[in-house]
Amino acid sequence: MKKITLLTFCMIVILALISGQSLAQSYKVIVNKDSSVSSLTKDQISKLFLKKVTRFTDGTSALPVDLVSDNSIRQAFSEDIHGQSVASVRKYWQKQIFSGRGVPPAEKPTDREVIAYVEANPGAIGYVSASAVTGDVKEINIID
Amino acid sequence: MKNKISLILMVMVIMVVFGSTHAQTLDWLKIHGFGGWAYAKTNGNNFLIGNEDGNWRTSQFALNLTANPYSKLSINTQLFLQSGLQQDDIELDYVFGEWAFVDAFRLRIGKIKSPIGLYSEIYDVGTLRPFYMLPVGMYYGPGLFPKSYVGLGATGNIVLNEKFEFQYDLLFGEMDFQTFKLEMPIGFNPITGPVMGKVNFTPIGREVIGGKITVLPIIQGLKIGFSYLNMDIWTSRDGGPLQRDDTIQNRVYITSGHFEYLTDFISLRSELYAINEDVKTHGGYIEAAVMFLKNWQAGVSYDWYENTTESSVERTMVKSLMDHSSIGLTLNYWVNPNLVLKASYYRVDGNGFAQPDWIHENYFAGTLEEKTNVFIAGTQFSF
Repeated sequence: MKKITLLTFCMIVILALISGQSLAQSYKVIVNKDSSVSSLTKDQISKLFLKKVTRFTDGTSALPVDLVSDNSIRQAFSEDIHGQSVASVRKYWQKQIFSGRGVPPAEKPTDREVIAYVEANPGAIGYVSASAVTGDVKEINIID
Repeated sequence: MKNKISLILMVMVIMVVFGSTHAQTLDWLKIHGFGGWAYAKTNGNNFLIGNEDGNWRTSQFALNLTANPYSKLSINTQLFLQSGLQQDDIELDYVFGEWAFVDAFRLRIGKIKSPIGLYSEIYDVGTLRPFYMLPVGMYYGPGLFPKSYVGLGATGNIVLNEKFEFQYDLLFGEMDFQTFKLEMPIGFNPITGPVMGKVNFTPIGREVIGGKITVLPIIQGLKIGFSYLNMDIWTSRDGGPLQRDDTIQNRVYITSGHFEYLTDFISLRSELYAINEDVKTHGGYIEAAVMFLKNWQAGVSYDWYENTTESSVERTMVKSLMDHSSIGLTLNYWVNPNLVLKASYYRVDGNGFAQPDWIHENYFAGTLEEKTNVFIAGTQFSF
């Protein structure tokens, strides 16, 4: 009986590690190639995308860009970075909009459009699927 | 009036249909809105949007515009239309400019959203709360927390470290409070005695100073805060000139505390407030809701209000007019985060805000009901 319990516990731990890894690996965060930013913590990324902080640590204005709400990468990003579902983040933005405190980041339907937006705007920060080809933008290190 | 509202609604719908496409091409201009429609019925007394016959007359629509012509400047405005049991309204909820010096200091000027409490800034947005109506004992009944003020404000977000931040708001200006009707003697008939009538009172807060501080501690979704307002009260009677009320000599101050805990599945909110000096009122609410089976939400609430102002207590024989409490239950279906169907029931105790057309007549006839059942069903949306 103890063996079964131990085995179940090990399997849960392994599954949790695998799912955590796949979540973290399903997207990458990108900035403009001229940006001096090379790494950010998850909390810093979250605050930039929720516009609680509007500048990078080097003082440049941040211009976050999201994927659209029903995109699976957006869902993975939201759970991993904000620790909240996309629906909860949308509620947060509803509150900000109607209290006159801010509007959400621009939304793009595809990886390609996010990359194009980040290429075109010096302060832009976005995220795309891990497999996306990110030619002229810089991928940053995410610190846990 | 209804024709005007229909016309404006039509223009707004056209603006939204064409404007939303336009807004996508103009990054500096965003168009949003919200609204709702409800049926409300009571078993006797009138209670906010409900009456004994039942009615479908409550509908609301708001159009919200945010322009960012420069990165540090934002201009915000919201037009609000309401059709209801008692009156139809068109009002400019707010229009103000904000200059963001830094994240910790943003200066605001104009007709600004009042930041006091949890719901003042999002007063009519039904997709941001579990019940169709806001907690009555705090927001609608006493009308102490207006949607906006005219003046100057400052706000900011201060991140102390990864897990601790706080937000503050400071305000200075003038505030219009909700107009309320009082049934009182307006004449005397030698045969029948005093003639009762209804008089409209509109209080205005002058030289208002106040603010709010909200702490977001380590637990995600948790907010704890405190609000304070201090002002001179002037009152207009039936649209007449503003006058100081003889019974309110000192500056009035309102204090309130709030608590909110939100997750994907649970929402918990509570607020308490008190008014001191010449006006003595206190109240509050607690509201909890839980999501289940993906789209369903069940909620329960309790709110209360008590007026212990000596002059008001002396003025009335009907003591139940000084009190209100209600227990609410709601069952909601969220089609998506922007569209919800709600069915709510309230058991109201006291005549503070649940009253028949003529209170004293019913009181003397022994037909004044102190308990009221209210049913509200409706839909609310935002975009």
